Amino acid sequence: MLQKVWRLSHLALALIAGIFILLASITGLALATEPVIEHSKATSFHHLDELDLETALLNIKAEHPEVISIHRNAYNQISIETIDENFESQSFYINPFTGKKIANISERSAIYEFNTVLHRSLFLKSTGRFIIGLTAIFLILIVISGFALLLKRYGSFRKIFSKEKYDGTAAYWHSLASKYFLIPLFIIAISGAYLSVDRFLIESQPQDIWDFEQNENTAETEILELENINTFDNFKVSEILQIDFPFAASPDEYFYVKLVNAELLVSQVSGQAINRVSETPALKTKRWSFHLHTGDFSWLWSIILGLSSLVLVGLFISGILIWLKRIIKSKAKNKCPKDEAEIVILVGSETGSTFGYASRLAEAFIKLKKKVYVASLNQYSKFESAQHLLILSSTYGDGEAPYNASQFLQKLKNINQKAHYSVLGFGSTDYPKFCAFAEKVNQELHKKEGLQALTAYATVNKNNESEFINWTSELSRALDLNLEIQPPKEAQTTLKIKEISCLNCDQNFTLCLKTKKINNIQSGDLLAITPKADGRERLYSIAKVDNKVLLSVKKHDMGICSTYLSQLEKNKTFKAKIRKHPSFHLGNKKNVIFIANGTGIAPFLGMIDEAKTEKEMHVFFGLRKPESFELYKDYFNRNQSKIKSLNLAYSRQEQNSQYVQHLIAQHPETIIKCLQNDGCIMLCGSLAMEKEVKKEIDKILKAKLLTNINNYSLQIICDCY
Amino acid sequence: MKKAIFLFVGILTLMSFTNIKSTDPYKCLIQMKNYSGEGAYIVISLLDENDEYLKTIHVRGEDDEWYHDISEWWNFQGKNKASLDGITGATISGGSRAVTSLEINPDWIGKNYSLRFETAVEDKAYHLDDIKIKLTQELLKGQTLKGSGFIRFVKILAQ
Repeated sequence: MLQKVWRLSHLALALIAGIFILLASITGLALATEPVIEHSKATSFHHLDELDLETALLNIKAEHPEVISIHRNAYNQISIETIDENFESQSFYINPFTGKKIANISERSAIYEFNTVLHRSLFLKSTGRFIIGLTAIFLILIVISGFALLLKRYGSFRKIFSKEKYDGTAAYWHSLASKYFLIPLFIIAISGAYLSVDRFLIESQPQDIWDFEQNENTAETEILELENINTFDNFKVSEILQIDFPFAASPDEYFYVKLVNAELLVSQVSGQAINRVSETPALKTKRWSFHLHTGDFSWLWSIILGLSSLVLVGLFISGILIWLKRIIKSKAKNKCPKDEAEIVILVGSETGSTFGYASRLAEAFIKLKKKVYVASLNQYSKFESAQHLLILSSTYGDGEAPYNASQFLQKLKNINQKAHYSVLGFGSTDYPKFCAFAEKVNQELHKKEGLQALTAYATVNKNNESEFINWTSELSRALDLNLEIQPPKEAQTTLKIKEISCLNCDQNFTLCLKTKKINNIQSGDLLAITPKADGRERLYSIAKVDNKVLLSVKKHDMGICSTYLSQLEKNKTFKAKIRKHPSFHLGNKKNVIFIANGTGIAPFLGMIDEAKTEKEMHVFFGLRKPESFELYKDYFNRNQSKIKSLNLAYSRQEQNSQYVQHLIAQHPETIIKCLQNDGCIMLCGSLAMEKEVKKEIDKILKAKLLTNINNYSLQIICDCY
Repeated sequence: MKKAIFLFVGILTLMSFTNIKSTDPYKCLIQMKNYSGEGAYIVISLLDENDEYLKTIHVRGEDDEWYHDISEWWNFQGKNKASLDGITGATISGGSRAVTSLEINPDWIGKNYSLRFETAVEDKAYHLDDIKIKLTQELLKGQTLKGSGFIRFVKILAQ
């Protein structure tokens, strides 16, 4: 419930203040360049803390006897105001180490002026300042609610900074950018808001330095030379902001000295400060807010501010994309009214992607002339004609309900419905509470009177298509229907042949393909090729090597697709679909064992190539003959140093014929070490091989650890056919 | 012809002589109070014995779209449209000070004429007589002239 409040307020605040935040970010980005440029100029001095104020004053007075005042700005540029021979006031930059003029003061660039006014007041004076102030306050609330959502998403503060799998979605970029820029953005928002609050509510003013009892002592008194004024002995140039010289050599004229955190009036007669006011806490806060907001004190901080502005623009765009996707995807189009539907599909989804599965399921039912109604879990109510409730739900953050399912469990308690149900959980085993919400829903449905389970509770890890299809087959059996689930609608990609090998002794060959989509592809993804001859789709595991797609194919004499591929020539192109297969990607596990037979080695060639060296990788590879290895030899040789052990089994040779599972049986310690160190075992190849290898692993676990393979099922990942 | 040249040179000499002698340069320090808000527009003018405007001596604030805020002076300046070239400077903000060069004709001194400092700040207030004081020789020797509006004090000295 609380989470819903955070999310709603995060969205609402961003929608209300969005356009102003965007404007302030863009102008802020332009303004952030100013301190970087100013600090790099020759007029900016970076060792003013080594220069005595008195030395600097004497230098300046020697060069410019008529000096009226000296200023140091935040960029450590020293300027003086003086009167020239024509009694005209002149200002210019000087070198405080020599007192000499080094540059004229040029007017601030019109671009910066324009951006400043737009950033601060939108060219609307006080009204604009007020709007921008409110925007800053909104930004504070957006950052806070965003932080709360990050906490919810990851479960705890420490987990926020754990590595996240790249999936290229707006949600990924939104959370990645926000977690790293959380602190700078919060500082920008707080400091900006404070500057507005100070202007409208506090109106901090320094104490009045002139407010003191002046001695009306008119007796002629001797005026001290500059070098005899003791007060100046104690300061470095870096401590002062401004010094006004006395207007005349009379006792009632003073040096006015503005320090970073105080103001002084210094007598020309005694050389001592006759009045001093310190900076009030309100002014100090204002000063630091200004420094932090503008970055004027440090070019490094300005760069951080500039990057933060850029990130804010990105966060705005990605945030809007997330929101739009959720709205568009969650609008289920139902053809029949809710109370006529026989089958009700209820969806719990955070990003809207689960709705894609729901609509494919619904279409399969519609094809069989069944009446289907799709709704979000929060829309649960009494469905008059419903016989089956099919629930597809993801889990949010640390085992909580997705946003459109937050009220479901409450509603379930209050509504009496007679139906059969089936629950399918969507999630990722990368998160600790895998499918926890779906599981909870399943338990509650089980307890509820009137509801009966139709199939066993099932899950889909990282959008694994086959797990979804398995569940729908279960459903088909239970309902005695023949559900035909259409593959998800995907775009075709063009691939160009760069290299094609000859057939080896086993009729195997490799294909090296170039595509523009290569950056979206990871080893382990699938290439779905549908030859025109029969219109049936074949899947090939992809290896990504040198930014190209590498396929390993076995040519079957009667195979339509493999024959078609084997006859392609260099530089020819063909079209295919790239299907993401995130459950079969090389994760961040430190220990990995690759087990393959035949052409199943393909994805691993890419994974080994891309892997960082700190991984401990073992390969178990079953082939027919020693010559069979020639086809893959180069890919192993180039990564020799990364591979801890390469174990080859040959099944069709004169002596020592063996299969890959026999190799496993010979290396129990490798298997155990990997599983116990939270590593993973990846299998690719034939289903027969998968069965035999799993049997061997089970044997090893039973013998050495007194457990079985089911306790490690999440660490053993297969892509077999 | 000779006469004409003589006359011409004579007039020129006289003109340049009077030009040099007509005004003396003074430096004027204006110290502002610690008010909050934008920089103050300040107009220094010479008034006759009846407090009618005679001449604009100096203007602080260069954006003439705000001049109508200094309403009394603008009634005078708007009509006579005398050039302000060379006698303007930037506005002075709260708590700070500025030194300005003023041209004062010795003929004005001791004639019951006055100096007026008029001030105005955007969104704040307009002070017609922030300082109004008889123009005397004493005044031009660094006497402290206290302001009643945005000005804390003014001092004028010969250069």
